[in-house]
Amino acid sequence: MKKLQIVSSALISVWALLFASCASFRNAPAEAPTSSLIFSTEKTSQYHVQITTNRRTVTGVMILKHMDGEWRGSLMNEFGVKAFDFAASKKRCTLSNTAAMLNKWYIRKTIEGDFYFLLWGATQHKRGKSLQRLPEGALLLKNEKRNMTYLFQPIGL
Amino acid sequence: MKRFFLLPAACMSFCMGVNAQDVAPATGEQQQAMLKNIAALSGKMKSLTCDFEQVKEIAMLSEKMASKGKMYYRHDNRVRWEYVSPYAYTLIMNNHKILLQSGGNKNVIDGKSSQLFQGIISIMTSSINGAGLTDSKNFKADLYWGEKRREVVLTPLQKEVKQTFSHIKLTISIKDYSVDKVEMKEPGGDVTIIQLLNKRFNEEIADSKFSID
Repeated sequence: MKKLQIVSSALISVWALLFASCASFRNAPAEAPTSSLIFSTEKTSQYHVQITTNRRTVTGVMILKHMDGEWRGSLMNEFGVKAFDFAASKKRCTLSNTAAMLNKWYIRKTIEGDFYFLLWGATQHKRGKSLQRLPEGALLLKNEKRNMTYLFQPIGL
Repeated sequence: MKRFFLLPAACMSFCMGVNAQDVAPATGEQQQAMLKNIAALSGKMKSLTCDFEQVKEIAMLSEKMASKGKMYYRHDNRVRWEYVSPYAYTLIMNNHKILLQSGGNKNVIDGKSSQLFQGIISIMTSSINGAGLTDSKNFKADLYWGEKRREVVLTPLQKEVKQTFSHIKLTISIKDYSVDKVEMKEPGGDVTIIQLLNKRFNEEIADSKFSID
């Protein structure tokens, strides 16, 4: 348990340094978990992202595109400073061009797992993880093991 | 001054691109003129208000993300960088304190505590008043001369900033020697281009624009 706390704490610390914007937790209305593919394979999507732990909230922007049978994307802060690129095939999600502060194996593993669940795994039961559809196309991913939530709000819809 | 004549191999491909756009490495005399003119503008610029348009080119996706907003600068180390579209996000720098605001979320951090944020602050202020040219601790500066514009390529020297930006190119107006465009290239190949538009110098800017509380 202590190890989990350390990982979670380290993860959010570096996120905070990179993205550094803070707020209180916003509760999203509960809805049934989705069981369908939720991102458009036809066009590039952009989302405002808010990541929250029990300590703080950080924000950024995600761009997502379906290419060659896999999801590829990039996450950055609003100022344009990149956190990482990602590519999620049906088998796994991998990060690349990861910002130095995030480039630790335990952080990559957590993010890769959560983004794989977001992009491919929502149709499967995954213990400790859930994905909810919210009004106006927003999505809420919860990682109970790390006590983290990711709120994705579409940009430009 | 010798450093201005040397073109580092790491920047070669980038600078070949620069040369293709009708600018060439500045001669010693041209460098002196550029530095003098930029310093003169910086000396008389008490404030700058402008709009900006930002385009981020994401290499992996061959996609672009556009945003725009307003920028306020005051010579006493105050900057307000405010995105208004397609999302609301404000960065206020008030000396070493930085406020980041996204929607209702606010966070104040001490810029001194992070080398990366210090680097970003340096880039922002360099983009406005050319301070990066004399900031030899944080940047190596290469100067280029063209008939229609001048260019400065800043190569970060600090480790954390180098990991984020491989170099920053400032395009400078020959009319008033203010910065028209900032291009920030990342090691992974992404480029962020910011154009400063509708520049207004030395207008009064209220303290409230830079309030962090």
